[in-house]
Amino acid sequence: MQEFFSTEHERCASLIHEAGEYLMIEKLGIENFRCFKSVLIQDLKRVNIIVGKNASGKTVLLESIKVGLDGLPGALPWLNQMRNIYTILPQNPTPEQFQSLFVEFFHRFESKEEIFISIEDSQHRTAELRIHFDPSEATTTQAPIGFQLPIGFQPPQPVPSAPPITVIPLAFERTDFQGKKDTVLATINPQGGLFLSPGKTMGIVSGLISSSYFGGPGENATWLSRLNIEKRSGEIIQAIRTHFPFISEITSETPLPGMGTLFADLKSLPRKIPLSLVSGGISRLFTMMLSIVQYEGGVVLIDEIENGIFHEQYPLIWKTLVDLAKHHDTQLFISTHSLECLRGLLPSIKDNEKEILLLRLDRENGSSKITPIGGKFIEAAIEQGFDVR
Amino acid sequence: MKYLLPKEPKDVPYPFLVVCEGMSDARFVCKLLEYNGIAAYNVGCPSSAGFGTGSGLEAIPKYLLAIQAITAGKETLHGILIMVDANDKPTQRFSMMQEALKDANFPAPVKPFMVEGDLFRVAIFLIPKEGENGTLDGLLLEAALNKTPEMRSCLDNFCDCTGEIKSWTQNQQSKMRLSALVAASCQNNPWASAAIMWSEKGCPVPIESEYFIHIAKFLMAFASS
Repeated sequence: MQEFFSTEHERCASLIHEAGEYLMIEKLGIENFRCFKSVLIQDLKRVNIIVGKNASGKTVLLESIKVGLDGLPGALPWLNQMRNIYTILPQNPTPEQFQSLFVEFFHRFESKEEIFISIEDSQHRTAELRIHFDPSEATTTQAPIGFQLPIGFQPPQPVPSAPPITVIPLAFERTDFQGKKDTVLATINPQGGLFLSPGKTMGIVSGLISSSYFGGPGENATWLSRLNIEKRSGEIIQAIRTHFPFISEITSETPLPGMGTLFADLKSLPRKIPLSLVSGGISRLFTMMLSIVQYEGGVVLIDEIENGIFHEQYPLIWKTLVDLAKHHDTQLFISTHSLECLRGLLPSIKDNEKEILLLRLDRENGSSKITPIGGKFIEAAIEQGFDVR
Repeated sequence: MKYLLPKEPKDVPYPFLVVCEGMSDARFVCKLLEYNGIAAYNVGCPSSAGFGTGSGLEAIPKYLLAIQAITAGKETLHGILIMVDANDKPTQRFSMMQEALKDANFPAPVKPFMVEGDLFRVAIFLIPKEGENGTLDGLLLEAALNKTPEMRSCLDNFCDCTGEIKSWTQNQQSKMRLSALVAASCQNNPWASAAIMWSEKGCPVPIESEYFIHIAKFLMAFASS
């Protein structure tokens, strides 16, 4: 989960207030990003459900939205980390070593072509991101070799330097939702280490809950504390009580200095216990709920919603997430493999037919393609017992 | 030929789909396709075996929406032929099916028995045939009685004995007579209904009957047009 500081939230919130209405992504174009050669999805809805076989590109679709909304180099290694690929770059890397960090983000590793992600919001403002290796920004460094000597210690001889290296940075050419253009880079710093330019996001906040993410204790505790302070935590606590009546309260506690953790008060126990000890699935569900509130006015991306959750909970979980998304003007992109989970969506579709879209992904000739299917069609297919995945 | 019924895989393996009102009709169409060696069809009908929708004519609009949902973007399905009873309201039945096709984003024919479309073709066939009112059950009964004409008076007598049946609708009477005939013909399974009679020894309805030739010809023409 990516932490956004309150200032970033406030900046994005101000953009929403300027717009004077609920803004959501309506159109998404992706070119040359991982398994997508070129796709354009239109008429996206408040709740977008992503289905498809393994390796059809479900997670990549979520990643592309995350990259497109962040527009920052830091998003790429972060996404790799979500997939257990760690960005390890030796000091003073060769140009090839540097390039290899990013080449897998390009469709068929074709890094001579640019990655292009365009996102149009419901006010027809478009944010565009072009990612490419930019020779005009080539950076040459000559970093010293070896350990830093203690201050005051005279080396017996001059510290040797590595041979000069020149890398071609990865440029992120951005146009945000307000039309502001800039370029940020992934490159190397004078010490020969990886440097990822910081910056502002494109104007819509977003959070991604990966398939294996069951809630970061510190982050969730901070979020819940914030909501408590603003007296806004009631609805999600109540939702958890509805789903799991044996839980009477969830609180943010600090048992050790600086170690905020979510605790659950179970009716059957004399003291509270960490929420993650109650159930990984409940912890994950609570993270989803918190995210929808936390990223109010933004986008929450959830990969494999069904993970860790008992099948009987699906209908109520869909209802809770859809209701929360509507209440907080948060747009959802949710992937699932589970037919049972999709069937659990039925009551929520009946009430929100026009606010739900299914995106079915298929792999064709080495690239992924996306077929959008509207709410009334999904409803009919589920009712008739067909498999729409 | 393959049944396309709920809880089956999501694939639509054959290029054309016959949509029927219910299982009895679907099984008849399958038997007819099999007898005539026509292999290009999936055959399906709405079912209450799903998650909330009913079956029968009223559920066909939802069934078509479902077909659109599972075939969208796949280009495996190239045509839909709807076969429903004309009953005594052929115009109303046709309009209902026409609207259902449109609502599901399929092309729709402007009149019954007409094949519409090129890349994706559609047609609405009203049973028994062009210019006639009636039902599939009535057609099956007539085909059976054509083979065993002596049974007609027996069934009439049975109806007389039961008293109230003569006040039933024509469709209800056809169903009752067909059921009685099937039960009396299938010694191994007197519970056999029109839906399962085709696999029963002694099935009273001959699939080779001349009463079905026009349907088989339409199926063949639709698949090859």
